[in-house]
Amino acid sequence: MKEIRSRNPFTRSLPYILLVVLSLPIILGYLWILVSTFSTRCYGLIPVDQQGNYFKGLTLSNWAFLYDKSKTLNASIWLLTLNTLIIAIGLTVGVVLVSMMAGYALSRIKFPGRKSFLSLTLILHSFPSVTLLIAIYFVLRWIASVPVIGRGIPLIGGFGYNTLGGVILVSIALQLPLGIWLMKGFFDNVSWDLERAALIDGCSRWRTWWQIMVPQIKPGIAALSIFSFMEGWKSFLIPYSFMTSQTKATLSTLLNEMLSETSPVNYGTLAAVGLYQLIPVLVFYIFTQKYLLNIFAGGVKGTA
Amino acid sequence: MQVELVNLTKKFMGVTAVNRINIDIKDGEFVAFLGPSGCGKTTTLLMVAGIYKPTEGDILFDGVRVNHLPPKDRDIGMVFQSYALYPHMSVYQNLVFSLMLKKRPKTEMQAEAQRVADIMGIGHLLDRKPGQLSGGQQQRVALGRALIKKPKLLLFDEPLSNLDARLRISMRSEIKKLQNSLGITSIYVTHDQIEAMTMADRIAVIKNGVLQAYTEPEELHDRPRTLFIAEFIGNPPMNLFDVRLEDSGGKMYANLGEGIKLEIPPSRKPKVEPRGSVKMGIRPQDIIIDNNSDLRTEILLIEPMGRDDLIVCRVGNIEIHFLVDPVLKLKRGDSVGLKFDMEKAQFFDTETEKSLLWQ
Repeated sequence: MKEIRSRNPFTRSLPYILLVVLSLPIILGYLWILVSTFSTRCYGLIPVDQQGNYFKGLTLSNWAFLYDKSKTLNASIWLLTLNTLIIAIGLTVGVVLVSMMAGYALSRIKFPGRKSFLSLTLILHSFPSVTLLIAIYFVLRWIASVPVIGRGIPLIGGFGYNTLGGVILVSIALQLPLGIWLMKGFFDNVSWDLERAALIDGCSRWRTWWQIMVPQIKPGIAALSIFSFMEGWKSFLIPYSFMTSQTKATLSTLLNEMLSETSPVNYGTLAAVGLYQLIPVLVFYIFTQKYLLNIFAGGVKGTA
Repeated sequence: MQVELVNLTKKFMGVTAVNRINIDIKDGEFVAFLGPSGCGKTTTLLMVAGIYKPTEGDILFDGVRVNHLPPKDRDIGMVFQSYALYPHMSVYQNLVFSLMLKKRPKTEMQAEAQRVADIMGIGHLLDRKPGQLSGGQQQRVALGRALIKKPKLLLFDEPLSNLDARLRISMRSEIKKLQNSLGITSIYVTHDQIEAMTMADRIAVIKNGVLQAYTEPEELHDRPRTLFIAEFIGNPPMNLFDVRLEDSGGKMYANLGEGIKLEIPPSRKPKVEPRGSVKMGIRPQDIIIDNNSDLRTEILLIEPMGRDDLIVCRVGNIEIHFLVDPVLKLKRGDSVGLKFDMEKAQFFDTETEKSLLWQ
């Protein structure tokens, strides 16, 4: 009996070779961060000590920034981490909450302007946020002048210019189009009968949403939460533009400032801070990959 | 509970889905809404349930207008085609959900769940999730969930469509028995005429949002008021021919063409001027083999149906379907003589599609 032979090994491995070559720059970049984090100096990817001996000079001193403020331009790394965390969590809670409600309404309720609202959010989603920076600046300045809401809220400072709340507010607004469309897509896939059954069983519309509909789209909520959290954690442009004081900066803006310093850049510390910022993201990805894939599975099915 | 639909109309963005339907349902009656998909029967049901608001007309429960009463205040239970069980809750939670919303004590919920589980034979499934049940079991749970509220009106939306053929037949009689013993007024939406014929006390035939007839199953079968009903009711479907009515020597004949001329008995004489073109219908079981007949034909196709064989044959351009006893062992190509039982013939106006016999 003759067996059907697959293509020869070379043609079979060609796609892999191509992919590896193309991803090499990124992989090397991460590798460099990893190596230089733990070494005094680097020649390319090879750690060297002060005298230039190869494969010497491995050290943990780059991580001194965790307790030594002078390494990070006199900003406390813990305060910055807390700020970044507040932004990430604030963004996640805001986006998920609003998207869940808006997505449900857009999926289930017929109201005038529904279609145009949907297409408008889609346009907003493709808007580069850089173009909005100046307009947003004026809005935040105005909010800052409102008593209490502007700058008088503990923890997030308020919703005005130069507060964590302001950054969260703007980030939520920019993230919402994606979130709403995503949630709408997930709600679209829940059967109408389920909702009707709940209404007949005695639920109010509100309760139907919360007790019957929301549990059906848990995978979608998980995916959106993770996605939003990561967006908030790594966000740079908005915090950089609307937060001026150092104590309110985030990890991303710190990295940027360390890079643009006039004195010689300490690449070892820079790499260490970069890796420090990367760790939660990596851990998150490892445990939540499965949910993140839902974004693409669920998002595609959604229609207007 | 007595239900009355008065001039009930529903429009969706200008499109009329249900058009001035009038139906009254007696207390304890089992009524089927029958029609092809998209005819407006489910829309009507959802208006009765309170999910849709009628555009015009009224819904009366025991003489009280309930148009704007929300579903939860209507005392109804509903069973869906997709079962619509809450996937994240156990069977027990699904059953008692409505009681939980009414904040009934836990002991009462347990007792009621047990009662319903016993009726539906699902006592051993209470801890499972709907996803772990078979289609038939899910349908029982859905029925139990509708019954636990002790509703005054039960609504069924094609509940058996997703079950396999055998299960459908057993569930059919089970639902019928249950409805009989509990005496709950029921509305049953289906596109399956056999389901409607076997289960319902009365059938409302709906086509394009318009009520075609609302009467007992036998009446629909034996005295169809419109061509649509004649075509839709009965299995296998009725033969329909274009005929010309001719008078000669005081007798009336139906001329089918191809040299077929059948005498119409006085009891079936259409109330129209003769020589008009009309539609004649006759059911496959009302055509019998008679080898003395002048009408001879060759068998084209045999469909064994178990109790009968459905025979398809052709005279010229006219295709005729009829039923024969399988013991005759007829074969394709056999030549047979046919006799039409004209005492069972139906006549319809070609234009209005209304019956010329029953008005």
